[in-house]
Amino acid sequence: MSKQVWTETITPRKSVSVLSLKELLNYRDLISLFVKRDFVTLYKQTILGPFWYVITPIIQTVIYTMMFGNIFSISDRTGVPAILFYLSGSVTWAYFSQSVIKTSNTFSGNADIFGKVYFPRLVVPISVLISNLIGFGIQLLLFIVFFSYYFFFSGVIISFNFLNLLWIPLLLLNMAFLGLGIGLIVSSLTTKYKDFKQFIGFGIQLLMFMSPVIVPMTIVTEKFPPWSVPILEYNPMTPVIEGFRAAFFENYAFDFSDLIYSGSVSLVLFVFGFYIFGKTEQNFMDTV
Amino acid sequence: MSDLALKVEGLYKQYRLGVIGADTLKEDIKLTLAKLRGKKLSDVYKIDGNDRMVGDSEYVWALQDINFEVKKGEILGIIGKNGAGKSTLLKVLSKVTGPTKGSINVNGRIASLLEVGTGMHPELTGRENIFLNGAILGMTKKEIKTKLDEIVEFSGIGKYLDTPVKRYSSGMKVRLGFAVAAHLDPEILIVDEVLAVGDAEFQKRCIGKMNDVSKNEGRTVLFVSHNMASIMELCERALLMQDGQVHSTGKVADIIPLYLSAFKAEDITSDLSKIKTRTGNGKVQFNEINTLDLLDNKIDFCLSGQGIKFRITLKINDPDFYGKLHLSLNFVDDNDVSIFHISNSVTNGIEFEIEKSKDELLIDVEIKKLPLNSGIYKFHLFCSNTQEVFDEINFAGALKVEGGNFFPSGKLPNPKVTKVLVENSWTKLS
Repeated sequence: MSKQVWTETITPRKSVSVLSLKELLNYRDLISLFVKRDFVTLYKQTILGPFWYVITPIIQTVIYTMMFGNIFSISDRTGVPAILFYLSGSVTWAYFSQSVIKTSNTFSGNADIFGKVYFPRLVVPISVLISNLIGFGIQLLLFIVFFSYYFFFSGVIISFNFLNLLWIPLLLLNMAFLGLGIGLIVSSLTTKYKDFKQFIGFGIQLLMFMSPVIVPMTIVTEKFPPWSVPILEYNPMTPVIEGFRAAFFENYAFDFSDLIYSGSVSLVLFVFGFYIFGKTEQNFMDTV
Repeated sequence: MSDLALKVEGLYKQYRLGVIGADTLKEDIKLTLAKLRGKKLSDVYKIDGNDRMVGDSEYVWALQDINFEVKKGEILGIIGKNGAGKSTLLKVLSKVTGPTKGSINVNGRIASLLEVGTGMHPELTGRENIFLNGAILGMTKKEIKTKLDEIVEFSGIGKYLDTPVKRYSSGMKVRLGFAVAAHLDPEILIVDEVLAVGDAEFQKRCIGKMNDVSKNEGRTVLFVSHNMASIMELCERALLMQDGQVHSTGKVADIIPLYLSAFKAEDITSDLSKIKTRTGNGKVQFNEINTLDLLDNKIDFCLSGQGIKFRITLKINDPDFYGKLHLSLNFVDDNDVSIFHISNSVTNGIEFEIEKSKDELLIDVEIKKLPLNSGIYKFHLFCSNTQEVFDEINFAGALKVEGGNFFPSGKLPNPKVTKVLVENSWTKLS
């Protein structure tokens, strides 16, 4: 009699382990196919196709610039041309909000697949993050095009330090973890209480007004009522948005050490999100 | 001697009943507090077994203490009444939902054929969907690439390969999905015939594929079915489930009679109003059916050759209903094969004419001499007019038939040879 070997043991899961991350690696093909699916299907049967990635931030930037550019005299106060100021805000905020909204739909939006076949559920939010990254890449390119135009042709003096661009990957990682963390928490909660689904779209919009997408922190501290300033300061997205601007404009008033706060909040939210996602994933089919 | 492919030990699965809402939040808090004080769930709530009729607790055990082993290359049939926990067991085995207690040891990849076409995206082409679907089922890109030609050929979608799947006919979609699933080559294959969708041909292919993988490739198959004929044909061993527990396991020939005897005629409620699994628009509905002898006594079973009556009560739910009404009874054997079919429109040559503003109908169907051999027969009820189907209940009830004196000799042929009895005479002419 040969010795019995088991390739797998299914038991009630008590805690989440790093094992599930290892398992995720076996499914990297699935992740890449999901990314491809998300990217390809988003603009199938549209005329402008991937150009939509570019059109939305441009329109948003134009509107913000028209509405707020002069009120807050952005260009004079910050040294950043209003167009570039708002484009940077839109681009970073778009990545964060899209990541949160799409990952928060993980369980309820995929219940039909999850109900029939097993694969690590984390595949879905991870692939969302990656496909959003493609969009962010395109939008970053757009920003660089605009930036180069201002830098070389507009006559506006921009202090630019190439080394500061090294912050960009860190900022991106920070946003990704923050978006994933919040998304995982919300998606786990929505399996049981659908209230969170109602809340998330609205909540993200509110959060945008509590961030420096529209008004830079220098003006916030000066013009906003004192009680509202800490709300913006404690928003973990604030250092990310301001940091992005500071990476391109060396004179922009921003202290990169603020990222320590933002990064730790992201990490805590991610770890917590990962934990409750892992607890939910095994039995969510019973409640969703 | 041979290795095991699957070993299930002390498996439990609990479900919570009722609606999730503000009340469950309150309970969750209560439960968490209790947990913090070191109590167990069972101290806080009473948990009922998986008998859906009794008990008022909010938690039920859908599976209770399930233990079994499956050898490599074996086809295990899983049988049991509706709601016995078969599908829950498969869900836990395929990791769609987790167990509450216990463990399952698996040797090899598990895949189930109920996943046909899962995750296909209508906007993607057939080729893209083969890769996506394959990856969802657990294949790597490389594996799919090597099998791509086979899959395309098997599915027969050939020239549509680079067309979006939304342009496919539903048959093509199913074929494509099945082709991917069939080339998955799992070590353990799960087939749930109860849930399987698709036409008869498709189901036949599923069964063919199952036989194939088990006999030729030595793979393990778990097969859930209500069809005793296919269980008998395919499986060596069967597992009978009852109320969320394993009733018994053993050779198919020993287990099937247990299943059939568990399906007693007394179990069948004559009250049909509570049956949920019915189709039709409900303007007229079957309310009750009773089996009577010719002297109008209710009977639990009848004898071959006996005269019996079915007394059917129908409720007319639509106050404006009047006109023609067609009623039929279809008797089927264990394999859901029709044995005989009777209807008022065929026997009388014309439907019943129902006058306006009636709310109930009482109808007797008489069979002068029951032409059935001993056994248990289930029947479907059907009620319609020429335009619309009012009510259709599959397996509305069962008729238990014991041997009787259908023939003057009092003898009966072997029930395995024939279910239907026909009056006949034999004469030696020379």
